[in-house]
Amino acid sequence: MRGVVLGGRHAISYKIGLIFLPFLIVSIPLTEGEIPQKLFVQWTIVSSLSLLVTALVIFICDKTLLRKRYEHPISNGALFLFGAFIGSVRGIATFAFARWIFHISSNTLESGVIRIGNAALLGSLSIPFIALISFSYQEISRSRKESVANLVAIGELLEATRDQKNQEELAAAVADRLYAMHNEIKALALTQKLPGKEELAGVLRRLSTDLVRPLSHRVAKLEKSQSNSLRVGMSAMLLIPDALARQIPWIILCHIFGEFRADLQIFGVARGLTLILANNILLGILLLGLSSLFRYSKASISRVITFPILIAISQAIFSSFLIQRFGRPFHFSSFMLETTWTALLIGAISFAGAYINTSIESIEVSQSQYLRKFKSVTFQRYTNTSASHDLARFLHGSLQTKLSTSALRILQAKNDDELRTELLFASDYLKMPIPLLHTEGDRSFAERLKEIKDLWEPLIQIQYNSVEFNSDLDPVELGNLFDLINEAASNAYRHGAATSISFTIKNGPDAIVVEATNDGLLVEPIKPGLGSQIYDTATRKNWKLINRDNQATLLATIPAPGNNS
Amino acid sequence: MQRVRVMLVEDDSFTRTTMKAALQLQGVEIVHDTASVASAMQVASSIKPDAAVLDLDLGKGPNGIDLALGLRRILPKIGIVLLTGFYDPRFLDPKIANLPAGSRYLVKRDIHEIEKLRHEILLSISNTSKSTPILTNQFSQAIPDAQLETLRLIALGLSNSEIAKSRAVSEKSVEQAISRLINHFVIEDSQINKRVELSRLYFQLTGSVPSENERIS
Repeated sequence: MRGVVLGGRHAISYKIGLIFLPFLIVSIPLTEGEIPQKLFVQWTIVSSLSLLVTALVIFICDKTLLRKRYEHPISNGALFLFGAFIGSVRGIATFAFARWIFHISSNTLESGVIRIGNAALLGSLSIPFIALISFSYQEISRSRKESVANLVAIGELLEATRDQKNQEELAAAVADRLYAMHNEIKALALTQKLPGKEELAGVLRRLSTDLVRPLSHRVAKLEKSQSNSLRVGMSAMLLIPDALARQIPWIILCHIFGEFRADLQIFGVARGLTLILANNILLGILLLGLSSLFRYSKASISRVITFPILIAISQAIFSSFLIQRFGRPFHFSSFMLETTWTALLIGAISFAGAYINTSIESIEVSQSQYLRKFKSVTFQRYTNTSASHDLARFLHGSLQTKLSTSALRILQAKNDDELRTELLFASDYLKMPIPLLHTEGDRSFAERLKEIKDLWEPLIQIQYNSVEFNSDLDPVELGNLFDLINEAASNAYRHGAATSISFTIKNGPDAIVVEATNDGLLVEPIKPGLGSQIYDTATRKNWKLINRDNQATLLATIPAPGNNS
Repeated sequence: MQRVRVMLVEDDSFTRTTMKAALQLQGVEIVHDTASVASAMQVASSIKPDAAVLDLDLGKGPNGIDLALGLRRILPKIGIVLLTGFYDPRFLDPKIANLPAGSRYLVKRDIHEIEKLRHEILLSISNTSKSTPILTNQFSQAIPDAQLETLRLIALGLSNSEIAKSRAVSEKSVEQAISRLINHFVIEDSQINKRVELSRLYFQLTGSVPSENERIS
């Protein structure tokens, strides 16, 4: 917080001041101890009138002395002085009304001087405190506005960055998942010793309910907006003193400050200091204890009320007990005063703390929403197309039903052959939607190789030396292969200044092996993470760049389980 | 005075047609306009343009810089003007090739008058021998590749640990990179969430979302 931040527009805040109005009115009659009802009413009227005069003085200051504070904020020191001035105005007005209008006998000159001193002290604390709350409130509003602005920006972003590439990424992610399931079932069908029928049927049912169904729900759900707007009820939550630990020293400090003068005056130095020490040690223990107790409980408005009151009552009982031990009579009004003062103090300081903390939390909420949005961008884009409807329908309806039916047929199978046949059927069901998920799925292997050649050929000659093409290759493996070929051509041209590159593609039992040799600059080690992601993804980090026969050569192995060469 | 002969390569046909007409009105002769790298390379040696105005992002395959380097191989004196929405070419591809010497790099949104484009074309022809390419926007030039990649990953919503994993570095290095980015972009206001601000800057630099000033205007 900057040094003069409270001395600007927040130096005078009528709205926040109004919240404290009841306390400000009753504060004077309550400090008078055990008094008759008539006197209590008189003091209440005096207090209200003096408050009116004080408000008038504040208004005049607002329009004259402090009128330029918006452009030139006053310093925090000046704010304390202003508070002391306003407090002394209140004290003088109270003294004057009580002495010359209501002729209250207990309002002697000596007590008047003490009252003015106390009022100045309280004023010097209250005005900056009100300014702090006003500032915190403004911060909350600002951060909320920022949150909304962020969400708007995300909305724009979603629109602006929608592109084919991300759709493909999403489709590949779904295809990968299905392909893994396909492999799992295929592997089961090809094992020497088949597990029991029940177990196999269970596997299919699990795939159907635990994997395919959630996948379809995930796709379908994304048709709806994933944006969770900021909670409207957040403003109510701002009042809850959630992180009290940080405010405890301030509460104790203000508590000591508030009772210091009166206790020393009434009980003398030794007993007064003992009372203050004992009272505040207890207060500290109660605050720490109850704040720990409330830490994990559900946040509610009732906590705002119960928390300070519980502590204040406990502390006032203890204080009354000590006072009696010191040989002083116990007054109910003193008890009430102690309770009111402590409760208000805890409430007010923890409110201010909660305002500031919630301001930070609000930004964090906004940030987490922002980040979550980004993470869901890929999925959202895909579902914006009609393909998502088809996919969700297919996954949920067709595929799930087929797998469940397969599970039933497996239970009815008479021998291992029937079991294997059914398992292979099931694995094929899982493979069926994969081509749908690839926009390139309907194009032939040769066409896609030619496309890469045509794209790069004017810049770098591409030659396919020996290509063993297995028509049974999965779209996922094919996609990885084409990505790798494109990347190898691009790297050779951009970083190797190559004019030609030749590819050898071989089908292995469980992998496709690619060898790419270019006539460009010899290679240097490439940092992982910068530039090698496509190789890493396609080959699961099974690739290397070497210099062979004075030529740069890429050796890459794309995993293709169950590949029948 | 001899008219400047220009080749125009832009994959968006509307932009290409509009730009062609506007440049012709400025007295520039468009000798060839195409969306394809192949077509540009095939005709370059026969028509010998004085300069090429190239879109940086040409879709799948080679980009504008790849084409520019290819054209320079055939025509070493050809002026190169790259047009783009990206404030830094590395936003298109983190490991993009260096710009050819003397090429002019223009961000589309910064061109308010076609006269400026004509001026840049003329400059590109007279500056082909300069060793350093001239960028019209210096905003992100001083950022090393690693920091730029970190910025991109932040904007994609990755956490520090995810970024560290993706870049194969330690989380501490990521924190340092973020701290340098914050210093570079002078994000001083303690009330602003730095990560959100960096993401915003990224999308502004890549032309995905308008900047605050553009929104106002």
